[in-house]
Amino acid sequence: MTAPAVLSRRQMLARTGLGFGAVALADLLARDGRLAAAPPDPLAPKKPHFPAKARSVIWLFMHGGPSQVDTFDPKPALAKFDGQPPPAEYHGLKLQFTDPARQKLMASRMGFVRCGRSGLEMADAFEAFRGCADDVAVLRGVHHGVFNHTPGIYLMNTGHDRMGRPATGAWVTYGLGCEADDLPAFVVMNDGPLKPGAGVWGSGYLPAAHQGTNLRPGKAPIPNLAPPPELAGADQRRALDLAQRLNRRHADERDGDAQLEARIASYELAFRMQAAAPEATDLAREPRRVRDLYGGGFGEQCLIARRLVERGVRFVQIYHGCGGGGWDTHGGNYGGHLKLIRSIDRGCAGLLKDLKARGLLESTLVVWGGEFGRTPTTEGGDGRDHNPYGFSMWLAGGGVKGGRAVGGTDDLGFKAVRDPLHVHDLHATLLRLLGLDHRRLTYFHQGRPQRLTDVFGDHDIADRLTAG
Amino acid sequence: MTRLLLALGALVAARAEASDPKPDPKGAAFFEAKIRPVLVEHCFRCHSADAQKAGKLKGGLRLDTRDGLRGGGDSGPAVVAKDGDSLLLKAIRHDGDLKMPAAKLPAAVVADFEAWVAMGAPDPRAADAAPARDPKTHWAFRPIVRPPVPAVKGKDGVLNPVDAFVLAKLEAAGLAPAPPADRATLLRRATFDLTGLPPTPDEVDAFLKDDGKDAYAGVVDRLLASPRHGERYGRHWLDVVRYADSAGYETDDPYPTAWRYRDYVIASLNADKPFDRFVKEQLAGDELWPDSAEAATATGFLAVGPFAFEGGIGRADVVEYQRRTDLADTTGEAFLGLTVGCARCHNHKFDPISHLDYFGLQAVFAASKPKAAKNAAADGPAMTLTHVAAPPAVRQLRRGELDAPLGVAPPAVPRALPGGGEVAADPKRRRAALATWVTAADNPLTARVIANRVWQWHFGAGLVRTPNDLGTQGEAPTHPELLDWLASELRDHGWSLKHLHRVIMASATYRRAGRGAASAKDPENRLLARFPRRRLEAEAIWDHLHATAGTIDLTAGGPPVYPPVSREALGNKLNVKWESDKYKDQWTRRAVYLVNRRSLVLPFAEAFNVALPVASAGTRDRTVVAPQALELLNGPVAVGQARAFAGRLLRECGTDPAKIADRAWVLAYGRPIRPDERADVVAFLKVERPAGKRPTPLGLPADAAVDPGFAAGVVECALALMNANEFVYVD
Repeated sequence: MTAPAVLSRRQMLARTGLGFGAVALADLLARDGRLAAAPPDPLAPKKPHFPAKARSVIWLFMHGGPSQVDTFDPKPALAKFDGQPPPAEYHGLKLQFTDPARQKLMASRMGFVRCGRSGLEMADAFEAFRGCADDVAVLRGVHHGVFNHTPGIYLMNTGHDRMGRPATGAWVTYGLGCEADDLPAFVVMNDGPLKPGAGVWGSGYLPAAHQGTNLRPGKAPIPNLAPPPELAGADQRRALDLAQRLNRRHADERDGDAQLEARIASYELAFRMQAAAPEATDLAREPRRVRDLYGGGFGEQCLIARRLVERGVRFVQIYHGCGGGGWDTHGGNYGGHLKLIRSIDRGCAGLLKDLKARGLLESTLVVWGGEFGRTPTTEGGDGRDHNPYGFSMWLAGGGVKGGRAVGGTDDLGFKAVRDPLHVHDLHATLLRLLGLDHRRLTYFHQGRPQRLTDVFGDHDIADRLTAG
Repeated sequence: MTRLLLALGALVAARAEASDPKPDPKGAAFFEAKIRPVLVEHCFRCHSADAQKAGKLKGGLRLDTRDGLRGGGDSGPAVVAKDGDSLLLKAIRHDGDLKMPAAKLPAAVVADFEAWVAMGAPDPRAADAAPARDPKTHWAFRPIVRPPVPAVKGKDGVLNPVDAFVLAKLEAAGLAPAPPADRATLLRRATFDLTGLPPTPDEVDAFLKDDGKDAYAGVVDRLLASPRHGERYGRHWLDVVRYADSAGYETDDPYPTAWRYRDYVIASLNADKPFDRFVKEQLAGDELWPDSAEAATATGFLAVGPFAFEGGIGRADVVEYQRRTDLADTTGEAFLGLTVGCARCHNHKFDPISHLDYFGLQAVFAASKPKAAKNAAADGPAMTLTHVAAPPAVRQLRRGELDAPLGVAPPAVPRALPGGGEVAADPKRRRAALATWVTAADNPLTARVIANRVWQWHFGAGLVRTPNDLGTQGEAPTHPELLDWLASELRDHGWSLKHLHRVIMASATYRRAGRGAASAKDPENRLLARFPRRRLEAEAIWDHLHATAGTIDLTAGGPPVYPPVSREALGNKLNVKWESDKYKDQWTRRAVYLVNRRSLVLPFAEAFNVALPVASAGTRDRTVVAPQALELLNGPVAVGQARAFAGRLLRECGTDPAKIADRAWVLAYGRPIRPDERADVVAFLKVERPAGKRPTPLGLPADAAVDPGFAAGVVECALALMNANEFVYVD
């Protein structure tokens, strides 16, 4: 008389909200001792450690390293000493290409304006984004010590400057799972190849289900979504039905082995995704005025990000400036930044305004920043070198109170001196805003419980950011 | 030098304490009067057992015990007798980065501490009751003793000693073993296990007809003798040694001749090279057998790790430190089953590896550098090592940070393990000493680690399920006696892995059916009442698809093959030249011969949980995810092979649906089809496909008049069979 149990198991498989791709049978296991060990669903939605407003993240990653003194960290002193050598205390600072001792201070040619009711200052080149100032908290004291792009990008994403560790997005989906059952939990968009490669959004030692899925605009946003031409439509379903009939008999003869049942369910999920993923990325479904709000290029990726978050995707990252130098303005810093700012301005503004209008900003944490900042000194005649010792990022939404700057660099913009926020503490802060304790979010590997923040991150500023 | 000798980890310190004379009464009195009260008042809040219990211990440092004070915390020993630069003194003087306590102590108190250290830091407190780190207490550090074979009741379930160990546990748990597997299942299991390929229809036919007593043993011998065996087990080993064909990081420079090491591994396993010799060659082949090209090739193990060539624009010392870290960590996990990397920042909290030991292991590797191997021609010499005439001293690093050097760490192997200690300083003998120690008769780890891995490769999970960590943080063995029996069996038979394979596969345990319900008493089947069913690995799925389709190219060895990869996948990585068209005639070779770029894992392999070659990988993730279904349903590899499989069926069977069904079953599943299955497929093939459906390129003879609609149905069927669970699971 085991038939009812089998039936209910099938029904549950058909109905349970199963994470993208991974199928969860842990609960079934508990009530049905006959089942062999099944991989528990790594993406089943999980409760955070603490109550939190932020439920999802959109991280706008500015590849190349945006210059803080030309964007969000105005430095009047730099204008005053323009063209002069920097003070001796900065000589010998370890940078990639230059020694400040042999460079000159270079004032920003951006105009800075006080924006919104808060009066938060930013470069006036942010013509649209200026209007969002009251929702934005600029972190002016972010810092670390890695001055090369590849290790810097790894560090910013994984907390380590070496390859092979899980990305922040992987940690977050590990901690919180995913609400969407027919879309990936962690989605990455980029506008070209990235120097370190796809390992940056990898799952490292976490289960592979947590790795970022690279998504491209268009009809085939995810690899292998479209059946081959001779198997489109009904033919594919017929072939799948044959496979599932075989699977049914095969599993029934094996006492409904949970791993076999899991794989059966994964095929139905895959089948649904074939429709769901192109729907989520199809911007033709958005009214013109919304598309106009975001603008093209980067803005379209921001709009896709909103659609994904709306559909329950946990973590979205957009890499801007890939394929070339991006924000890496070793030469022509001013012109380069002007162009780069204009290419993201509407997208950033549209995203925050649209999220807010839909009531999604409170539950969506938006993060902006690069792998490091740039020097206040010259490189060549008109460029700026990498500078990891003090740079700006900003956060919006997810409970963060905007209209303010937190932390700061010295008068020239070389180093974080006021409330410096190390990358590990930034990671701890992001996790905390999502309701996760970075000390408790661990995975046992290589003999010890591993964390995104390793043994660091004791100075998160989440409370400060969410306090009125 | 005193400082050096004393700057040992807690373990060594603890041993030294035992022989420490009791401090003289004067020193003890000074401690009680001047030192202890200050420690209690100013330090214990963050540096005591209470702080530890409250999770508030700072810097891993305990000052409430003698051993804690001397052994120190994350930054090294707090006090070194008679060393005026002891960390504790510098900290209380606020002389350096570390300023303790925050409110500086009065000058007189600081002077008391200085006087006390100058006296030799007498400390009358009893030796620390900290967690025992005596290696004798943990099972994996005890000598391997061949255990007696247990007596069991179910005598007829015992084909060899393996079964007695397994059955003893089953009987104790009140579980009955499953009956033997049917013959087709057993053949498919053994063939995938030993060669990573499905049995051919002829092999199935022959085995089903041969019910002689020795038929199965004959099959095992045939499979072990097949060159395909080394390819299968070689791939297992390549995971353990984090093998790849490129350096990784931004530039991901190719290692054009790394494949020679891969071929060396495959050839060594095919030849059943004694495992101790295999280990020695990889660690120190050049030092131990300087005239052997093969032994030199083996040291590719040390040269194929991740390496940041863009170091030219970064810090050379960082890159070198990363290289040594990779070698020390990989050596620890691969051969010793110890996560020695934990000791990079502090004494290993749980296993007998001190901070000094760890950097001593790094110092072993400091004397050798890889020969510049990038930009070599693919037919150039193997990647090998060269000795550094005057290797730089390796220093212990506080918290593992390069900018925080402590004392010099002489080349050494873990001191607390049998035979451990400093090794020859001669740059040309350091690795030889390490290799000799790793494979020594009294090394308790090496034989256990490989015996456990071999068991895992046969059963899907090891007797210890954390094969890279047999230390105290790893899982305990389910069958410790069996593991020791296997380890001693291996050593007693000349370290022959093939002997171990035969013993394991001859057991009734290996030959049991996989069916049967899980028992609530053992839901994970850890006691092996049944044979554990498992999904094939990425490489075996690749090989299975091509073997079933009849396209597989079994050429062995040579430079890695670049298969086609979508522009989108390539688009995520700069700097990777992907000239796959040059390899077009090799695209259907076995997966072990496909290229392993660190920065770009092949999408097919990635979908099926291939291990990242960034560190030793003892196990593979087995998550079941929807992208795997998409890969097999729509992906170019599976669809291409389904078309080829369909073409093969039409060529071999004509258009007779029943014949096609019968043949398809034995090719895909290695067993005869059942009537209900045949009926299902025949009906499926008879479905009218819409006219006008263009024929797919199925490689049919020009005169074959096959209805395009029917051919399309065969493709659908082929794809369905390749997607079904039975294709990717082995019972």
